[in-house]
Amino acid sequence: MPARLRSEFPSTSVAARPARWRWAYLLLPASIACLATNAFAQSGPATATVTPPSVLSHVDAQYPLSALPARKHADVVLTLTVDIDGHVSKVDVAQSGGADLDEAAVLAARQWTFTPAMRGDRPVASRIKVPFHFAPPELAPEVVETNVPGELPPQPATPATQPSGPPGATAAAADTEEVKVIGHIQPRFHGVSDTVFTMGALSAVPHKNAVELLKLAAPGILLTNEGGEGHAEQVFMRGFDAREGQDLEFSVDGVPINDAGNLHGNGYADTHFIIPELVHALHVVEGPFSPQQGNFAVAGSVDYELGLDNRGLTAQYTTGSYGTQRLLLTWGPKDASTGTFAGAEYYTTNGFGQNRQAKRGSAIGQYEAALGPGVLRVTAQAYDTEFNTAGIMRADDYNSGRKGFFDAEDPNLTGDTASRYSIALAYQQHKGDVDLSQQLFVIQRQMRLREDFTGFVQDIQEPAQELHDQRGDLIDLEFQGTTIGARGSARWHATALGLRQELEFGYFARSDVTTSTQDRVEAATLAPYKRDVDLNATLGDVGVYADANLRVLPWLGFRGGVRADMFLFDVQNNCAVPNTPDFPNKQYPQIDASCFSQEEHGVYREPGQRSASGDGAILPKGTVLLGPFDHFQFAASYGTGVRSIDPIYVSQGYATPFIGVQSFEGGGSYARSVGTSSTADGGPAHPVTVSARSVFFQTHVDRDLIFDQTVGRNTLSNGSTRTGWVGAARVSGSFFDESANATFVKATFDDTHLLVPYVPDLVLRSDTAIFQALPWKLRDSPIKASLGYGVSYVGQRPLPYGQLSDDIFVSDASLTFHWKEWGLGLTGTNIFGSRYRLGEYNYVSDFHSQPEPTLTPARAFAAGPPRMLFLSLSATLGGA
Amino acid sequence: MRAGVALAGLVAASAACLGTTGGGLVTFNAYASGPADSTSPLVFETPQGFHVELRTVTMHIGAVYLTTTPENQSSLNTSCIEPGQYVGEVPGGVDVNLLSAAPQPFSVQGDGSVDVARTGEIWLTGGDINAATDATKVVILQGTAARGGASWPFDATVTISANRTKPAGDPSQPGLNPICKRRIVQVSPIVTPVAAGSSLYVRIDPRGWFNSVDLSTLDIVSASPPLYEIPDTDTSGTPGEAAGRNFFTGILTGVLPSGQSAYSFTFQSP
Repeated sequence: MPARLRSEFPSTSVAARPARWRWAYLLLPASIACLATNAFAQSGPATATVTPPSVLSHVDAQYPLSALPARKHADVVLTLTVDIDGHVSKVDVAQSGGADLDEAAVLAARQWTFTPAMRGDRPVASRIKVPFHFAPPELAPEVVETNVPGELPPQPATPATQPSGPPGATAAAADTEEVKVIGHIQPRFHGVSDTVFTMGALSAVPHKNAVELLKLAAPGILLTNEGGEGHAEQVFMRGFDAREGQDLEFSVDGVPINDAGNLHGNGYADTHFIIPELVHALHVVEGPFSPQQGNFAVAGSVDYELGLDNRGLTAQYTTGSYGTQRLLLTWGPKDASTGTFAGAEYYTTNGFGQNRQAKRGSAIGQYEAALGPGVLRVTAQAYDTEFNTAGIMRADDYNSGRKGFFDAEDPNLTGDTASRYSIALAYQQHKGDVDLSQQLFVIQRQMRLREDFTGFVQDIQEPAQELHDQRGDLIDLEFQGTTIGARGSARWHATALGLRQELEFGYFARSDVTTSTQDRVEAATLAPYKRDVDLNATLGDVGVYADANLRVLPWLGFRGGVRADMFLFDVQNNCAVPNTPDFPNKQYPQIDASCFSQEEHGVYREPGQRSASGDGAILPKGTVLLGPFDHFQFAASYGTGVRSIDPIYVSQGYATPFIGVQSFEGGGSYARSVGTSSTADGGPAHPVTVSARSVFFQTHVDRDLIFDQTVGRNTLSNGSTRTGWVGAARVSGSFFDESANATFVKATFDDTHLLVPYVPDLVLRSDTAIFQALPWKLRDSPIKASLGYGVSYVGQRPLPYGQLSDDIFVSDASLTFHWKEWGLGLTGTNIFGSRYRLGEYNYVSDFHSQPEPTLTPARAFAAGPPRMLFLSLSATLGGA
Repeated sequence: MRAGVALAGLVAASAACLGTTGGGLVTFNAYASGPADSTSPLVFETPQGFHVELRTVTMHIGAVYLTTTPENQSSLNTSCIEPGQYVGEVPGGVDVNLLSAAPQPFSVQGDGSVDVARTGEIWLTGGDINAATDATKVVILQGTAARGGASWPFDATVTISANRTKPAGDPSQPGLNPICKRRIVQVSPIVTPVAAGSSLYVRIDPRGWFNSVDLSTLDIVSASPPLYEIPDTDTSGTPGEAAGRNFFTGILTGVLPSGQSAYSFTFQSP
């Protein structure tokens, strides 16, 4: 599986992109037609229903620096073998333009993806010819209509008149048909920290849910979760404790995942509804450098691009440790693009310890097809889960033997639920020199969360209360939200200075209507005894942006622009009287009956109090791209962003409903194809593709979010700054794929210069996939095997009170065999059986595990999963 | 692999040297004892003019807590647990012989955070501080008082149970007088830095308990040999009961005739 290197910025080398792409696109239809004719030739009758492969994505070739002195003009014609899942499995040079130009073309072509060719209703492997014309930059040829990578390819593509097919391709152009090609408008990339990570062979590396894909796709990721399998993972990225998404903008094909107004955390992002097998790629932007990024993009943003490469009907059953079972069904019609699919899963587990049971069902369906001049995509999704929460474990309880490592301090954390239902419509079209995109979405979210971080320390005896003991700090949080929104963009391009220039305008809008309550529950009776919070909120977020892609020289460009976001908060606090510090007094203190009307200084008042706040932010973002050297690209980026605050702060008087972030980075990337590697069985040779990047960054946030265990959610703290370095590399060949990254970061508060707690300063990650056909055959069919191995190292994290956590070293592995339509896989997580602490904390808690209360800060932890083994059996019907 | 892990560990260790979140957590040994000049028997004069000789004084300490709050500043604060205020704790008990100056270890180690304690709390409880009843004998005492040629051999057993319950008074504030408040000896102000490498020494001087106790009013409980008793009550219906209440008040307030507290909390190297 070739790696999909992202080297699409044309000025990373001295490139002749306009000329090249004019030629390439003029000839691309010819190539497709060539395929079509080839297919016709193979299928016999010219009237057979044949669909050639259509381009899903393509990547620029770069004019190599080594060719510049000679000012070479040359055509390189490649023969691409497109396999049945649409990937380029082989590249042959049919017409050489010289070694350097051949290499540049091969490197680019190996990153193209297609919908496979179809003969009748069956996908077939196919070969097409793709010509590249290279010209030095100052020799830009005459202006003709062009398309660049990432845009919608020509629609419809016209048949070729001069097929230059591979040997044996002899059909005439007249036999070809007009072909609709489905493509998507792809975002422009903003700097070296803006990457698209295609799963490819690395999907063999174990990952139990969609958020774990992040560990592969982005450097420096640490995921922790003390809240159970239906609770969003806490994500650490680039020195930010992004909690459950509060500092990280999540979306799936552009549809936002972050919950605006979620009481547990504004921006809470539960990705468990995403079936990992339906994720084709992840678009990750580390930092706030893209104008397309909006609310919550403090540490960065993540967009899951859905797609089903494995066509046909696939059923997979998995069983393994701790009563875990999973049934997965996916279906992708053979005659449709990978964007048309359906998938559903049912999952259940007893969990690896007390209070770790979980069940979930999730379904996602998407239909994508050409409609009129563009492409329509409709996506529907449903997800329900019920789970328990283990919570944290006090270290002294474990060390003394009072509790087990995987036990729960509070056994009452049961009955948590979450659901998400959504529907989205997207339409994209290419019209003249403008690409248009429009998307609408509606989301319904619900979650009930029961957590207990402190045990029995928060329940203060008030004079107006009846005498009581500590009744318990269990938090019962309920959130419901309905989101309706839209986003759209128009990208216009023209030629100036002999180079392609682009300007994109876009908008994003969402409105959220939410209700949030949080009760305290008595441990003895499980009855709520106090209402901490009762909020109704209507939240609005409208963002508009302009994003330019300007090139002064072929090797010098600027990308970026400005974004303006307007936030509106309208919050009804239904417990305003006791939650407003001004009101409690000796006569009317804070008492349990939180939401009763009261006499306030002799005047009757209802408990409800309405607060509204609105404000806007103008956010400049820009990246200078420099690529004077072959294979290298350098970038310097500056960006600002915002994170809206929790509605509860608006009810407490915060006038500006967002926090600002400023970030800059500088770094370089390297990408090239070097040499070849042959398969062990003597198969076709493939180049080894290499990509690497190194980035230094600094990010400042006006007010940080620090988790407060006493209230069970994030609270605002002082400003903070992150400074660090990220390095990542990926090497892939015909039988292997290796990705590794390292992140080092120092996060400090601005006022005290003390470290921000919980942020890992060092994260190392390596993912390896090896895939090969075995030398044996069974009933004349080859047995294919793939091995996946992922390993993470997380350095000691600073904890409050000057403490350090333990480090983490965990390895996961999988081994899968495929024979015909069958698949058999064995997956092991934490294969060395490390007993590690996924999260560690220092704070006050008392779970009545000792005769007297424990009231000073003490170590607590969330246990990491033990070694687990899973066996999977799958079958695909009507696929290849 | 191991080399890689070692390298990673080295890098992590280097990274850890780049800073700190501030503060620190400590664990310490804790000891209780009588005053430094304690002898057995302990002989002293009370402000009431009694010459007292204590032959047995034991106190059951359920736990010790140190807080950063200078004093109980909130008139509304009726809770015995103030979250976020604690910088030291010894959440386990000891029966301490107050006639000995030798440090007597608590049953558990103490822990806390690096800070300065402003208030010390001695919890006189056998378990749940909020329990309505608690039969634990928090003080057991035997001695003889003499004044003007008369003497009163006496003993005392102090419990803090239903006998110490105070009515709320104001019906609108039923939580005004929780029993837990009667089980806590609160000593403030103190200035006691909590530091690593030190041990906590709690010293209790029973001489501070008798300031307002008229031992001549005690009720006799045995004629031969004569024995008087400090009543284990909080009422004041009789002079003897008043002595009992004043004795308990003396335990809670613990002020020596010199004006110093009868309780001290110090961290010092063992």
